[in-house]
Amino acid sequence: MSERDAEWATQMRAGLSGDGAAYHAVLASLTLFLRGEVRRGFSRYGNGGADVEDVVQETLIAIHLKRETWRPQDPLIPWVRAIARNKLIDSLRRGGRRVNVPIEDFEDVLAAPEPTQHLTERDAGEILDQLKGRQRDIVEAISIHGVSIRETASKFDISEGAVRVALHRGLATLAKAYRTNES
Amino acid sequence: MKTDDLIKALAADLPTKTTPVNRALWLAIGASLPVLGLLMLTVTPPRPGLIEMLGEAKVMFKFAFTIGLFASGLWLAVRITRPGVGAGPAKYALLAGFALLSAAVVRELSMLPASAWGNAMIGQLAVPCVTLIALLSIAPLAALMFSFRAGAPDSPTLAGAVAGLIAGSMAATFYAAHCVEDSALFLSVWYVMGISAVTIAGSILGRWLLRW
Repeated sequence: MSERDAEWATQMRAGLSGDGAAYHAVLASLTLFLRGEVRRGFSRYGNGGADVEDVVQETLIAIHLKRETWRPQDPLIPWVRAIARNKLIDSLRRGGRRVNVPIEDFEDVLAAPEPTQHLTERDAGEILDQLKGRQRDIVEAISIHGVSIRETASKFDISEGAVRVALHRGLATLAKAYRTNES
Repeated sequence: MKTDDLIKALAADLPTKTTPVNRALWLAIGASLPVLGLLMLTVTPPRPGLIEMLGEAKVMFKFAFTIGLFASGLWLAVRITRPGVGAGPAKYALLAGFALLSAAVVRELSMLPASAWGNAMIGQLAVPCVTLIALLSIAPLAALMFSFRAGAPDSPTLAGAVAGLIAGSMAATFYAAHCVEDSALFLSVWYVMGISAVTIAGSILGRWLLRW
């Protein structure tokens, strides 16, 4: 297991036991890693009409929603890479390609910072449009406006529990939207 | 939405726990057992003299086969519901079960005169065997499908098939207590057909229900 994997796995374990800062940190590191992986996959198989950042986001949501499928004693990167590979294949299929991507093609690539600023600055798709009403307001408040759960609760005059439920359902809806989006 | 913003939302959602797929799997099996038990009391009561017959090699083998399939199905399930973890050695356990069945069939063929092969294979209860295994598997299949949704299988179709295999072999184990056919030939045709039907149904359902 590489030093990098050991560090990320440690952060992920802390995250899974409730350390939000560690969880945020490992997701941020994985984002850089995933951009490299997805770009590499695209250059090899074509992008099927999708954007690197769309696949990265879809993978991050899957990592989050399926975090319990990672066993804390296992290395983290192979698990992340398997999820990325699944999401890349889904994305290529949506682009109408029949693909068979061998896992060996996802060799270790260094997490490089974004070469161009505009890619991270632009909105990756209008995925939030898939959410409606209060759910959208809540996901938008917490993500784009960076408002805390508590503040969101008082802003919309609902309980923190209701905010959590709406946020979780919103994220599950986003994952589903990616699946069914035949773009 | 920018990716950095998405991460904020994901981190904020961290306290909302998700269910580990293994726990969901055990719950699904635990929930299916009372349903199967109830069906056993009503639809497929144990055959007369079941307890005394459990000592007989043929009867024992019937249960060993269905329980063995069930165990290999579980082993496959705890592997393939996690991304990047293939079937690995679990598929050999499944193959071993069928190898043992083949050996039992060969042994039976060698012991029976050729004129008796047809009767042993067709038996008296071929249609009820397949139908009742399918019927008994409905509840476990539904519960298992639901539990597999907590996982992230590389192949939803394969995962669905494994859910079908587990449900079918659970159903076959309960049905075996009811069924008076003990021939390995019968087992290799009708039980296998019933379990295969549920496995195929599972793979079709999985393709749609287990995407993630």
